Amino acid sequence: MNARTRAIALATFRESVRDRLLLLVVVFAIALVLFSRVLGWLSVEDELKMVQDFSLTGLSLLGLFLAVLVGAGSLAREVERRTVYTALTRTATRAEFIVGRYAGLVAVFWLCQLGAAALLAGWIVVWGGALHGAFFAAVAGLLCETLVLTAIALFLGALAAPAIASVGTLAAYLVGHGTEALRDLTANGRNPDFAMAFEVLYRVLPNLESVNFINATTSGRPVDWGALGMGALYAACWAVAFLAGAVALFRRRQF
Amino acid sequence: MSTVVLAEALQKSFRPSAFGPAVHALRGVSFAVERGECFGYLGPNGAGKTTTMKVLTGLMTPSSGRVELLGGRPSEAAARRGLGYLPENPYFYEHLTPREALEFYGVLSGLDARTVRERSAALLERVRLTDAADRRIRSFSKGMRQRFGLAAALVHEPELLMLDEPLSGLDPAGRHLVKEIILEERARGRTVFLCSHVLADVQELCDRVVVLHKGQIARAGRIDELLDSSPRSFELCAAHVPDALRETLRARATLFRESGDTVTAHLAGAEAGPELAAAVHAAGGRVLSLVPDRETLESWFVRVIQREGPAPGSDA
Amino acid sequence: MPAPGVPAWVVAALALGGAVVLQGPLGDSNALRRRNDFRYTPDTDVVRVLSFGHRSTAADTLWLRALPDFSREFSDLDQKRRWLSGVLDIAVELDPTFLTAYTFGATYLSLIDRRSEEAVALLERGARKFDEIEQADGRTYPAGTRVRVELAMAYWMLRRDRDATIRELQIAAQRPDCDELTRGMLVGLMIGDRDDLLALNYAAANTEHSDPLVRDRARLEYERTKLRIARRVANDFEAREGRRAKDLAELALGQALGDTVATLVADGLEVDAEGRVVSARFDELNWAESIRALEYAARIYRDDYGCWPDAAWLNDNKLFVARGENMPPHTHVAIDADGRVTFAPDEPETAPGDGDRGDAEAE
Repeated sequence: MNARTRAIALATFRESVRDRLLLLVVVFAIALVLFSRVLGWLSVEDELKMVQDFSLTGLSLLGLFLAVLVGAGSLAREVERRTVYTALTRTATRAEFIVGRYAGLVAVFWLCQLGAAALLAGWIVVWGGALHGAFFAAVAGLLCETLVLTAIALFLGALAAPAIASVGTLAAYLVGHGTEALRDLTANGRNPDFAMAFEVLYRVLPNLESVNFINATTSGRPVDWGALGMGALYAACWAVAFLAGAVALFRRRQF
Repeated sequence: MSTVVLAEALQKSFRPSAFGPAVHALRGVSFAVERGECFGYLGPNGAGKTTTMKVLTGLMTPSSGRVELLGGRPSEAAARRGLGYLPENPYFYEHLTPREALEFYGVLSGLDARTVRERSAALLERVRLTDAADRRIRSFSKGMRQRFGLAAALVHEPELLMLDEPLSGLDPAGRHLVKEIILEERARGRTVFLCSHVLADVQELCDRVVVLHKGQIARAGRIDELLDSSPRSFELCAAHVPDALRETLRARATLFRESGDTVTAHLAGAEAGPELAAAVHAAGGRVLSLVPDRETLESWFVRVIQREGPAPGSDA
Repeated sequence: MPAPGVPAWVVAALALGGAVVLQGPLGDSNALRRRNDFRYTPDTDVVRVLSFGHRSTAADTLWLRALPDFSREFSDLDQKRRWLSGVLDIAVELDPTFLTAYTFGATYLSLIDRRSEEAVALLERGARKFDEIEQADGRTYPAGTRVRVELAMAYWMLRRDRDATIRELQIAAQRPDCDELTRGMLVGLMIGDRDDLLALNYAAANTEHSDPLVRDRARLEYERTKLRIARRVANDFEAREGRRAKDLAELALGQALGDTVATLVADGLEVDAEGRVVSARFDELNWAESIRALEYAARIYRDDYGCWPDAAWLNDNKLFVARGENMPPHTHVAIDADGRVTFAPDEPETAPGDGDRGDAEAE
């Protein structure tokens, strides 16, 4: 990352961190973590399971909301406010602008998620739970998910209006977590006529389940770190693909 | 003199909606801006001024034609290294302070952060924003934003300044300050490409202008050549004018005023003013002033535009 | 819109008042509607897809949604059954490690809904799921042990199936996180079956454990096992001879148990003057465990009331600890200012433990 990309990332980071919307989203995340404790009390046993499950799902939703509310409208906001005019008429290229913007957004989103995760970890320890490797794997997986979602949000933001980009990002999240169903539909010889089509779809759609380690967390099952590493690489591939797509679209953009 | 900006047969068309008709914002615009001059780019709303600036700065690509910016293509980052651009009604990252924003723009223009920090204080002082250096830009008035925009355009000491309406939204002191800075930059040998509606300022600052109308160049040339330098009328103010001569003045003036012993007469034509002033003097009267009324850029501009026909309602 | 001249806050207060007043009758109506509420039980596959990867959270959500319904009265009992069976089914399918769904679900099915076989089936399913998971992960989980123990209890209480109970307890007892209570239960069943060597073997599992607390408890259980075996032989003797044996030799443990078991059992045991089999080692370990239990109870008391309990509270027989073999004869419980509990000798005229001592069987 060169100095210009870093400068764009830093400006994006500062701008986003100071934005009130972000504050609102973070308050929501913290409230969710605290509320999960209430849900824990409501359950008969397994309070910590409830706290972890709901909090980690909350962290995932936090990443989604940030991508939808901040990421998807990010480029449109730049164009609408014409801040892009003062940036792109300098020596920075459009690719540097997109990559810098992406890096800044991801840094902010990760900061929010890691902050909430630290709060959750504190909760778990205070309430006598143990932090298994699976917890850290789940958080790492969520960060990878955010990597992909932010890239999708920027790509869609470069392609369409912010509202459509937001809906698209939300749809990508749902599809990304639903693609495993394509395999289930053809498992054990079911629907053989669609097996090939489903397999193709399964391969070409971003599968966020590859970095979803939440379900293994609460029972403290051992983490397949190899799978997490491969999942991270997979997420990085998708992030780069969407980011490259965003750059290609942004290069053609007329302001 | 070398050419800093070159536009050759520039055309730019848009299609605002997928099935709507195309809008031709530029229809074969050609001009050149030479190093060290202050170039005025004028035109009514919707003439294509902003589109031209976007094409020149690389924010847009032309549909056809050739553009050169500082010896390269505007789409090349290297060509933009020497460009300092201030867009119309500029917006900046609202949550940054001017100091942070200057660092951002400086680094984007190829400077290292330390150099920018060294320059920041002097630059903010130059645009009278030292007191607001650590306030967020979101709290700035329009005039402060405009002045900060100028500082951001100057941070990397560019050889070409492209300023789109740099004087809009400024109070008189602000206008004076910005004009002073533009003149100083010119004196340092920088080229200034100025786009403004305030034609009195353009006349004051620019050597040469181009008037764009309906996407085409309507007029171009040096201001002193374009404007008729001979006086169109005179305003004569005199005292102790004998009665006979007073009546002559009343008869020949298009507008005549008396205030005690003093008379003021607007005299049409290039000869009547000096001739009657001499007569007053010869008759023992006292000529207080004889002011010629020459054509201004504004009146010239209105004349040109009226001759070319009505302009579309909005800026392209 | 507020009429001209009426302050907006007055209108807001009136509207709020209206809402507060209406909430009363609405609440009654809501309760009526809720009571006859129709519960849609979704398909597991559908829930799996719609959980969008958050299967464990979806299971929790469904569980929390259904939890009040376990105790709520439904006008249609079949509907309640369908709904809660569906919830249990989906919850454990979405999260196979959902321990509460197995244990609480089985308790509800057996004790409240009186469907013992479904309760057993749910726990069997849990045991199967944990087997699969543990095999895949190459390790055991405490929740897996807990399900096994619950299953053993279900076999014992709901089916009266002694063999199945022993089988499950044996599986549980071989796991590293099996507690002494479970192991004690298995050992008790084995002693009843006169499978003494195996009982001793299970009881000896943690007698050399590195954790002194685990080790002491295991040793206590081991000594208790020996005592129980010997007392069974003593009871047989009394039934046969019509009197108690005078000493250990008269009991002829080797003849009753075989030489190996007899050697293991006889170590440290003796027959007292009244013909009861006793063990000084067992007493020592048992009383130490009593002290631990009493100090634990005292700590809970302090947490609740902010001060240490007095000795009378600790000597109250409602605390199962302070009675019989669990405390030395002619003593009572005493507690000092730091919460340390001891057994203090009784004054001759006030002997709270007197007469109680020795009546309780170790079983």
